[in-house]
Amino acid sequence: ETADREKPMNITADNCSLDQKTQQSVCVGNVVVTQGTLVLRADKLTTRQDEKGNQFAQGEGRPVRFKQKLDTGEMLDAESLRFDYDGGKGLMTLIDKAWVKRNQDMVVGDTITYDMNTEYYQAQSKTGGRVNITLMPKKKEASK
Amino acid sequence: QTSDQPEPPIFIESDEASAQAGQYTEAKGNVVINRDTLEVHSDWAKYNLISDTVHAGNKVVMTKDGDTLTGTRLDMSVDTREGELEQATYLMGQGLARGEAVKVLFEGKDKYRIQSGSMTTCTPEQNSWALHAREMDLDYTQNYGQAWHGWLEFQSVPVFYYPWVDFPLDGGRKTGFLMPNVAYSSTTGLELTVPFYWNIAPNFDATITPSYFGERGLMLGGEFRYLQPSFGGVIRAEGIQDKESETNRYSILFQHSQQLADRLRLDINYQRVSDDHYFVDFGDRLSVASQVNLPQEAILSYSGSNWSTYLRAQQYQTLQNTSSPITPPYSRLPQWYFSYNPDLGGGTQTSITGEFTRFRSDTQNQGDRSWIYPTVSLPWANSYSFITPKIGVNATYYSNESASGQDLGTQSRVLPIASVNSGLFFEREGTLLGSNVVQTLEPQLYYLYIPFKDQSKLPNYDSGNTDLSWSQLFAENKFSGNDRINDANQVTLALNTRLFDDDSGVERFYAGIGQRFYLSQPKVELNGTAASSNQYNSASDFLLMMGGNLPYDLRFNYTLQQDLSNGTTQRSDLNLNWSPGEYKTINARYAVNRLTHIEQGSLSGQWPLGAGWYGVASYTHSFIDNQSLESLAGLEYNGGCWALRLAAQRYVTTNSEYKTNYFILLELGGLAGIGMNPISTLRQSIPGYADTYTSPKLR
Amino acid sequence: CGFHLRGQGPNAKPLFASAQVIGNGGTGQELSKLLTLLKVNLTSQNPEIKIQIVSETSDKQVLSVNNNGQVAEYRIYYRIRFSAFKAGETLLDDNVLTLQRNLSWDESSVLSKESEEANLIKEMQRDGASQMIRRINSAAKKNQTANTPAASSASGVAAQ
Repeated sequence: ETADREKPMNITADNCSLDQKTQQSVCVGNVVVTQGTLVLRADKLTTRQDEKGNQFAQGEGRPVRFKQKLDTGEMLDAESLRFDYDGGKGLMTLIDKAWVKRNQDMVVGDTITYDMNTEYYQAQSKTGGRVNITLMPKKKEASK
Repeated sequence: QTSDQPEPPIFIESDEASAQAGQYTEAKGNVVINRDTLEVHSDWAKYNLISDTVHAGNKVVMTKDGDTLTGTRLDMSVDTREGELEQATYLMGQGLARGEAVKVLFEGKDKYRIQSGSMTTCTPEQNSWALHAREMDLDYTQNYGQAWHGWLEFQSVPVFYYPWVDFPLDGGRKTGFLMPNVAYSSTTGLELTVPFYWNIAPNFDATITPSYFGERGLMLGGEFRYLQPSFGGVIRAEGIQDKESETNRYSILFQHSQQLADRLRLDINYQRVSDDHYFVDFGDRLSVASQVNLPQEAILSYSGSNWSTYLRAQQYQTLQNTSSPITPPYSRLPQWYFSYNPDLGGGTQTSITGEFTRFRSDTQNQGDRSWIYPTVSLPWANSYSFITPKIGVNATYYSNESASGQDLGTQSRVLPIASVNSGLFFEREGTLLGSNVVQTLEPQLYYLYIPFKDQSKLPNYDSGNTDLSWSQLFAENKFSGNDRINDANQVTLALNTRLFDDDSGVERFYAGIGQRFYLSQPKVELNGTAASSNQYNSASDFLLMMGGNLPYDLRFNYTLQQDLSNGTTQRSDLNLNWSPGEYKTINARYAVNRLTHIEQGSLSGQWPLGAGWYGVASYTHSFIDNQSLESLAGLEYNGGCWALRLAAQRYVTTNSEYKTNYFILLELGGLAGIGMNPISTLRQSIPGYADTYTSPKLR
Repeated sequence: CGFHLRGQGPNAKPLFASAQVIGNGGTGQELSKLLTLLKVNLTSQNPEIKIQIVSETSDKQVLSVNNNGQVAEYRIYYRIRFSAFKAGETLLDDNVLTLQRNLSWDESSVLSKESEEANLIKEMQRDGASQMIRRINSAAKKNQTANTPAASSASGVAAQ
């Protein structure tokens, strides 16, 4: 949910190290990040915080997996090889073989950026690549 | 899509896409949308989740179940299939119906409405005609098309305007106006008919045909057809207040056949017209010629395993012809016939036939006649020969009245009839033109003995002279009917040969000669008895028949009935046909018949003239009267998606005047034809005629 | 000149001893009469050959007209559609046999011309029946020769 961002972020990994100077922590190996309903799994994660306390994170995995419950109660799943999270703008960018699944709707593309505030996401494909979207039309009762 | 069925998913593929979760999804760059059987290609597309609608633009190409539509902008609601496509072009009916429109509206599954557009079944290269309409409805669920306020453009010339027209989309027959028929004939002037077909039920339909005759006025015709598992029939009626003769004229036809029980059947055939001249004025050549005695009869027939019987009530309406009056036939009210073939064993074949008939006529003598004719024959046959001795007795009883019903006493006649039929079968195998054939040779000898009995005073209700045909050579009576039985002490000799294709058994060629030799002078004649004189014609006419397939696609048959004693030809009929290829056929015929006083020759044919044109022609000349009996010329053009048929036919009518019919038919592929269809006339006048254009179905 | 009495040559009597005729039209009756004459046993208990007469139709077309436009001659067609089966195998499927005869016509003696027409139709039925037997015979002979080599080659294979 949008409220996740206020929740404390908890990271577990095989090992993590903190670089005091840049306030950057790097965790490697079975990294699991949980924040509210958001769960993220990756092989490598680097996070840092700016002075205003916004969180920033990059990670990569084979693949990186996200799961989050939305305000509407629907589940959101996503995967990609690499991701970049900008807490300040609430912008999550999934890079390389990325896909996002909401209920049965699904978007597949080379890079997908997801704005957590407006729930607006954009998918681009590298030249020659294609973006695929699958949509399940609402059930009659739901949409009327 | 019924709501319980899961909605098929929508797949969108594009260079890039964006979505506002729960509200809309947008795709840009070579967008391809797939859903169920629908596929849309466009530059951009947007799917609005809330309203479940798809919008696509700049260049849209939609394909679905063989139909292809293009346009500049598409707005469509997905589940109800309703929406519209602007600046559209479409290709539907398996690529047959093509056209463009300012806007195409989708009104549900397989229902299109075209606004200010056009439709044609011609390919872009042909582009010969197009049906323009401000509104056009193509409903493939009912296979029914309609168009309002438009015009027909032919060779880019507007031909006619129409307020409303409908047409079947699958070639099937839908309730609605059929295309109008236009024709011209010398007795009725311009003829315009606008038939309305009414498909009442799968096995009831009706065609109401109002037609306007230039010189005669308005005629209303109707045909009502019904078909059930056990019975079916047709009622046809037409009527007119004839301006020219200021009389009410009509024609009625009622035909019905019904299986009352397993072996019991009823057939009714009743025809009636208002006046003798009806068909001359309103009929085509065939009906003029063949409808002189209109049957009005009902027959109840029962067929058992080895017996059958029928009860018939029959009379005729005879259309008199001023130049050659016709003696109207007797009515048979009723006629009861039975035939019974008991098996008495011992290889015998017995048959007992009999009939009781009450002949009625208000101008000639009438009366009742009953006859019975039991026969026993002992057919013996092996593979190469057969002998069939047969004896029988024909007993006939008359009770006569005058036309006014005054009793004229009774008469009777009993005659024994004995015959022996025998023959041998010879065969040889050989090859002819590369295929092996079997040739048969069958000599036949037939002896018939019937004593003489004076029948000159007996009434003659249904006896007449017959052609000497192959079946007549071995018949017991050279007169047809039952009132005259020829006395006979005669031997018939015949020889026939046939050529069969060995592996299919199909007869390729036949030839036969035969003649009857009278051992004593035949005396019974149709009316009266021949004076006994010593020099009589000791043999019947000589009969020669041959025919078959010759190389180079030639087929011929020839029949000759020659009176050898004075060398005159009683009947000869030579037919030649050459059909080397498709739409190519030429026939020639020369026929002489002393009995019916005709000697005529005819030439007819169909030949492609190239570039889609076909010519048809037929000419029949009567040498006796040195006048043409029928001449016909026609042109047909097959333009791929349309066809034009023009034909003119001039033929002699009953009072030896001529009638000329003109046919013009413009057929627009898939829609229907405009004008009178001359096909049945062409097929009647030109044996071997092949139809040069069949309209495709839009479904 | 090479002719021999039928029965000695390859086209001996019909190649089948029993047959069933389905169809009680005129040709059906003539065919049954002819088969009995040729000593073929008519039975419906597994006959060797089953002959089904699909349809018999007669059609009358105006052949020529006299100078009063009245019919001088009709041409009468008789079309027989039949199929023949041997032990379940189809020998002839929907085979069509068309016969035609000319009949001179006189509107003043319609009743006698009608009975003459009936005689012509009866004769075409008899002619049609005998031509049917000839076609079925040829098909049965071809079917037999088609089966026998197969039988021999099968035995050949078995022998290796």
